[in-house]
Parts: sequence; C-alpha cells; structure tokens
Amino acid sequence: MRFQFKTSYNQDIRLFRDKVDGFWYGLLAVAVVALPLVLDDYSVGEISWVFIYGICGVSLMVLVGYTGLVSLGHAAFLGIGAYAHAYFIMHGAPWIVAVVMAVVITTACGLIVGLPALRMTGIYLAIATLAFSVIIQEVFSRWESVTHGFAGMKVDSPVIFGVAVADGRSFYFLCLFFMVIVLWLTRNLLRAPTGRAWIAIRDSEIAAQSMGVNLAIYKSMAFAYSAGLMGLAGALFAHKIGYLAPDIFTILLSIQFLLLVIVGGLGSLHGAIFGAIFVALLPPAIAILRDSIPDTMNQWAQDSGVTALGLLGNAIGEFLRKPGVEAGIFGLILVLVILLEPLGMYGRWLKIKLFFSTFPMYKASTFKRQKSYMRSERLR
Amino acid sequence: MSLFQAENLSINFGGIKAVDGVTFDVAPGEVFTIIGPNGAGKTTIFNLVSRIYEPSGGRLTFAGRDITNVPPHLIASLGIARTFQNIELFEHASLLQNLLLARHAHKRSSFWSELLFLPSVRRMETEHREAVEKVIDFLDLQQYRDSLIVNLPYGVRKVTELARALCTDPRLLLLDEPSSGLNVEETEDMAFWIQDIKNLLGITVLMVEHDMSLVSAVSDRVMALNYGRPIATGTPAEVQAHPEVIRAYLGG
Repeated sequence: MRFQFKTSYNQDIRLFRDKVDGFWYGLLAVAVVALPLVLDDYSVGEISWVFIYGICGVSLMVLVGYTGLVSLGHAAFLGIGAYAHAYFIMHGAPWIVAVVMAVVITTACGLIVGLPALRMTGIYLAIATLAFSVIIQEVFSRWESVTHGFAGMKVDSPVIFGVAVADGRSFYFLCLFFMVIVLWLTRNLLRAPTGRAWIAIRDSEIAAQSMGVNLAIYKSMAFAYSAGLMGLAGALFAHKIGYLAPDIFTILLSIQFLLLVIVGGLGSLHGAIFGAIFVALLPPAIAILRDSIPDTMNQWAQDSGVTALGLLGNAIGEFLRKPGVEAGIFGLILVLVILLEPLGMYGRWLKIKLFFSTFPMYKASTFKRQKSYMRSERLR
Repeated sequence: MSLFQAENLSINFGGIKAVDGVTFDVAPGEVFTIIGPNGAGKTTIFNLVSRIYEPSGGRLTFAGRDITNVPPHLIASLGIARTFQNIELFEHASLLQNLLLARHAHKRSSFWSELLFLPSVRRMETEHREAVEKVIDFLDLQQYRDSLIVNLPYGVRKVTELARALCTDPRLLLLDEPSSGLNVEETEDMAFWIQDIKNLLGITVLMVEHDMSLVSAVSDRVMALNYGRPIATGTPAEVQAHPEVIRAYLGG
C-alpha cells in the first residue's frame, strides 16, 4: 500500500496522482506506440477500432456517467459526424477543415437535441433521443444530394497537410493521437468547475441549483460536448469503414455504445477505455475462437483418441458461426456485468489493484455500500 | 434595517394554501427560527426563499433587493445558502468535491480555459480549495476529506451539508432541520456550531427546527407557524408560552 503525503493543493489537481502513477501511464504509452511495430496489419486495424470506440466511450461517459442523462441516439451523432466529414472532403475541403466542420455540425445538433433534455430525464429522455436517431437515419437515406442515400458514399484515406495516411499503421497513430487529445481535454473539464457541475446535476439537481449551477446551461453543454466528440469519432469512423451507408447508424450501434460505458464502468474515464477495448475486440475474438476452438479440440481428439472432444469442438465452432451469436454474447455479458459487477470492468480493476496493494489484508467488504433509504421525497 | 424580509408571502398547491400571507423579517446577525407542527409550511417557506417554488403572492427582499423573480441558480451568488432536510449531497463524489462545488457561484473561468486547464484555472482552483479548507477546519471534517459521501455516516453527512452551505460564502444561511436524525451529543455540537457561525463568521441564520432545546439555545427570535399562518413571534420563551402555540402542538 502506497501512502501519499500531500504538501500542496496542486497534488489533488494535477493529471497523475504521483510519480509512480505517471511512470505506469508512461509505460502504457510506450507499449501502445510500440504495438504496431510488433503486430500484424490485421491486429493493428482492429486496435484502431479501440481508439475510435474510446472517443465514443468518452463522449457517452460525459453524458451518461457524469451528467446522468441517458441517450439512445448517439449513433446518429456519429453518423452526422461521418457524413459531414465525408461531404466536405468530397467537396475538396482540406482534411483538418472537414474534421472541424464535422465537430461543429454535430455540436450544433447536440445543442438542439439537448433542448428537450432540459425538461426530460431517465427513460423519457432515452425515448426522445431514440426518436431523434430514427429521424436522422431517415434523413441519411432520403437526403440523396448530400448523403447519396442507399447508394452509399465512398470515403478515401485521409490526406493531412499533403501527407497521405494510406496504410493501417499511420491511421492507427492518427486515431491514437485524437483519443489522447480527447482524454486530456475531458479530464481537464472534469477536474474544473464544469465537470463538478455535471457530477452535481447527476447526483442532485435541486442541490446543484441551490449552489448556483444553471441546470439549463450545464445540461446543454454536456449534450453539446458529448455530441462534438461523437462528431470527431464519426470523422475517423468514416475513414476506417471506408464506405458510408444509412443502415450503419442504427439503434443497435447506439445500444452498443451504452453497453460500452456500462460494461466499462459508469462514472470514470478509465471505464470508457476499458469498455472500448471490450466492444472493439470482442467480435474479432469471437471470429478467432470459432476457427481455433474446433481446430484445437480436433487436435486433442487425435492425440488422445477421444472422438467426442472433436465432435464437441465442431459443435462449438458451428454455434459460434450462427447469425446473432455476437449480439447474444454482448447481451449475456451486459446482464452478467450489471448483476455481478455494477461498477463495471474499471470497478473490477480497482478491486484487483487493491487486493495486491494491501495483499494479506484485503477485505471484500471495502467496496460494500451501505444502502440508504433516507431520501424519501424528491423535489422535481 | 433588516437583512431579509418576506412580505405577505403565499403559495397554493391546488386548493391548499401551504403558506398563507406570512410576513417576517430577519435582522443582520441574528438567528431566526421558524417552528411549527408537521405540515405547517416551514420547509415550503425555505423552498420559496431559495426560489425553487414560485410564490403565488407576496414579496421577498434580501439586502434591499427584491429577489421575488430571481432565478434559483442566482440565489447562491447573492449570498443565500441552504441545507436540506433530507440530505441532498452529491453522493458519488468525495466530500472535497462536494464542498468545491459550493464554490460554483464564485466561478469565473470560461469553458475554453477549463478545456485547456490554463494556469488561470489552476490558480482559481487553488483559491477555491483554500476557501474550502477553512470551512473543513472550522467544522473538523479533515479526516473525511477524500471519502465518498455514500461511505459516510449520517451525522457526518449532516455536518457536510452545513459545510457545503458555508463554502458558498453566504450572508444568510438557511438551515432546514439541522438536528433531524442526530443524537443528543451531535445536536449539542450543532448548537455550538450555529452559535459560532453567528458570532465568529457573522452570518445571519434562518432556521427551521423541531428540537426545542436547540431552538432555545441558539435562537434570538422564533416564529411559530400553523396551517401556513404565523401564530406567534418573539423570543423562544415567549413563543413557547404562547397559548396559540400550545394549542397548535397539543390540540384542544
């Protein structure tokens, strides 16, 4: 167990808790930069998804995890960002201008969608954002002069200041760069008065108001900021996917983002990244498993002479190949996480860390919360 | 010259007149307590003063300014802070964050400067922290600084609410049943703190309270309410001896 001796208020403000923390994050940074040198093209491409989903995760984390507003329409913001970016690139705008336009346009949409959020909370807000997402999807398919409808829209690789980012490895670094910037900006907001105001709105609107927080402004700000990040993610998403069509940005994608923040752990930026790793890497993991499980088990069957092993392996492979298995596994994991680990993967990570740092002294009850039934009435 | 004045304050919920023509004024530096049986309209008056409810009639004046139409989020920056009867802390944040949020009314940094965390933001954060630390020292909360509110016992949460209200640098402090749910010892501590707030910090206190020992110990003046109407105003002893007050509490 490390004890921190605090001698200055800055120690509670700065980015990393202490030098040891800074060291570990530095090591992580080195590892992430070194990965493309070691891995093959396919893996590098899959890990780029982690960074794009990471930006999406941070975006939704600000809204759901920190401000307490639920959105089922974030795929629409991603779509608006992607289409706006592709449109401006197609019309000859420089790459960086197209990205800025994508962010500005989605931020504006976020502000507009945020207006009903000033009056709605919980399930009603979820329904309103869902409606928005359905409308936007319809706009994508009908507004053919801009989006080319179901014919789709091809997105070329980015050319930044005359330098083409054509291969997967440079694109990996591009995504990584933007994710780190997004994490840094969001962390800045969260340690400043704005972030505290968001947390206050999440935990008690009435108290936040009495302490001087203008609910309307801070809720709109959370919506706009969240949408803006989604727009940035959308620009990268457009390049990554290469071909835009309206049926990409469906409710299912929105639910996947929600799953990302819940599985990762609500109320922490770490959770957004953990969730992104999970959501981005589960489908390729399943794809690998559905070939490798039958192969290995058949190998075992040959070695040991037990043919049942081989049959079982083939059955598992067959099952993993069935349509809808991926969605089923996502759903199952979501249910298990909510039941067993409400704090998500980040919560589990904290527990494991505490277990090792306090090794023989660890108590499971450290994380038990006292149930409180005091809050009998709520002013709304 | 009074610091705070309510004139003919009224509010109706449907056909019920929860507060019906209440007039009182609070002098600077005094502790003014509102007592009354359950449902008399005490907390409703607080919600009217902190502008969460819209009064259906009457006028509120604070430091010579009409605040009847001031939006609720500007009340704190005028210098009115409040606590809540059923604790309304930010439960999944640390005690320190709760108190720092109370400095929100004094926030001067813009969104863009916070996004980049410019040195000016850092400087202001340190200033807020200094103000918060003074309150932490005043109320002896040092050991709980980094605990999440969900992990704190009820008594500490109650003190944290008081601390959070003090962190806004108020001139008028509204305390909604500061002793509810506290044991005898904690109630005595609360009485000392209210006296210190009045004498050392010079903050005027408007309080709703049921515990008559606390009321008698700290109040300069008391107003008794029943069915939304004031029935007696005076020193604690006078009000307790008033026949109308006795009738309101004991029936008959």
